[in-house]
Amino acid sequence: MEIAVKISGLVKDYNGLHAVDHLDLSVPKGSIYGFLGPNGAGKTTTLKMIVGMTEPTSGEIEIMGKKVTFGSSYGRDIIGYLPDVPGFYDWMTAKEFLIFSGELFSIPKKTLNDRVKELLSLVDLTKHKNKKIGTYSRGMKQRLGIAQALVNNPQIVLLDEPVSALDPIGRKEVMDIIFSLAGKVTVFFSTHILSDVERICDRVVIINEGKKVLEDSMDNIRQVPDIRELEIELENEKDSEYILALQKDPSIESIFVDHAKVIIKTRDLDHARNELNEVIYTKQILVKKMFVKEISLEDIFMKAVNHHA
Amino acid sequence: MPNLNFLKKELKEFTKTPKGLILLSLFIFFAIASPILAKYMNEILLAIASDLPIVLPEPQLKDAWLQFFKNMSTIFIVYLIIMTGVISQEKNKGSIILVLTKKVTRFNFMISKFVAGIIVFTVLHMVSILISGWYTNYLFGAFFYEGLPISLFIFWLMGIFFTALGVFMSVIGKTPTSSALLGFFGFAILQILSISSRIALFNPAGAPSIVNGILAGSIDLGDLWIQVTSTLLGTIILFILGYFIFRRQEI
Repeated sequence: MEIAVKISGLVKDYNGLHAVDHLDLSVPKGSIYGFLGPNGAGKTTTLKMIVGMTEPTSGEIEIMGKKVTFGSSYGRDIIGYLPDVPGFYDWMTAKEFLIFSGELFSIPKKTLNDRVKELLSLVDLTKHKNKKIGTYSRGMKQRLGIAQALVNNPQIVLLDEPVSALDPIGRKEVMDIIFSLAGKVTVFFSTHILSDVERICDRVVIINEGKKVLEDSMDNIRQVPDIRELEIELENEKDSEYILALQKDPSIESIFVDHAKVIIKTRDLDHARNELNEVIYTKQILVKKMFVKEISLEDIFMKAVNHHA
Repeated sequence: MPNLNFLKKELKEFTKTPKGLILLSLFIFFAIASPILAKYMNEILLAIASDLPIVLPEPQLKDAWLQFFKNMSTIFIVYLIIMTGVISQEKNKGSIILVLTKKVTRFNFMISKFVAGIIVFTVLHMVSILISGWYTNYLFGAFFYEGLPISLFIFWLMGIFFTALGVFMSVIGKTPTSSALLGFFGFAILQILSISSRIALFNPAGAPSIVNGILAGSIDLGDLWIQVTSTLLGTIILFILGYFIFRRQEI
């Protein structure tokens, strides 16, 4: 597996406080990599260290196998970056800004014009290309931010909280654009919104207080052995008493009853289901519905963060 | 070397935003007003204080240039304040990061800002000289006196120094407001140091006192190398110091 971004033992101190604390992570080439953590976890600081805007206290950053140092211009050609709050020149139009961004990479005029046209279409700003950026909505600015990050046809795109300030429609539009990049570029995407990561990422790293608490593929994360939930809705409320008797079973963590609804938390889902089926059969309990709750990333996140704390 | 594409954007910004228009209006207004004020000062005084027995000598072309230099020194504070925002505004707004993560080094970025300032100031200076010279010639029948070219050059050099000072304050200030305040205090201190034309020779911002001295014949033109050297040194030191700070700054 080829690694696009590798971070080893990265530390960033601010007045003795660890904003980033011995962080290690590897972003596989071609993946959409979710960088997840609550506000203040150190995501923006880490991204800024990757793009050379902030100096690490210690540790190493490699981009495509080459070490990056603070202030060096290495990697500029192959990286596209969207900061958490992108600042544009409001007097420019979107088209002018993209041409200006491309010119900073010395992209030949013809290639640049074609690229700008393509990007404006990708981020759905073709109709607004000649309007001043100062008149744009937040969502439009964010889409323009993604376009400018892609102007140099980068191999790696670093997106810092690209949807956190957007309304649901704006979020969906931006997430669709990011998803459309899958397979074409490596996307390293920071967020504190779990559902976004769940929707588009192949791999995820969770950080809290600057420390990595979990890093794995989305598939593996969903399969993490954990306490699973079984939800049952009964026809008769009083039948819940029979189910409550299962609490003695060592594999059952807890049973919660709310009228005719019962939630069983268990460490061994299959065993619990067998036990439950037996009770249902022997006590002739009428069941309206029964289902196993999917593990959400939120559950994993909370567990990882709480465990770490 | 400046990044030419970034420099182009910087120059365009002066024409697309109010700051260019504000500066151009001020420079043109005072360029026109200076010879007119000098020519009609007696009439103006009579009109506003006819009961006071104030009689000024008949105005001469040197009075027009004296007025021009006096007014231009006042405009410099506006120019300086505008220059103090060139980097701090980009830091404050976040646009700097979009530029520095492309193929623009911090040196490219800073020198482009500095060169753009020099170009803008030079154009404004030239425009104001041409306008003021034309009006002086129109009102006084001549515009040239010995010492005018060197006076204009020293003033231009002071503009370059103020450009470097503005960029420096813009680097060290965390916000446009703090940069502007630092610039204002810097300007005030440099003005205090210019009180004596002898001290002004060593002051990079001493041009107003020196051009007065040239007009009054109290300064030996042979001593002006001190002023030129101190202004150039001040400019270079501020730029280098600013760059070293900017290079280590976290954005």
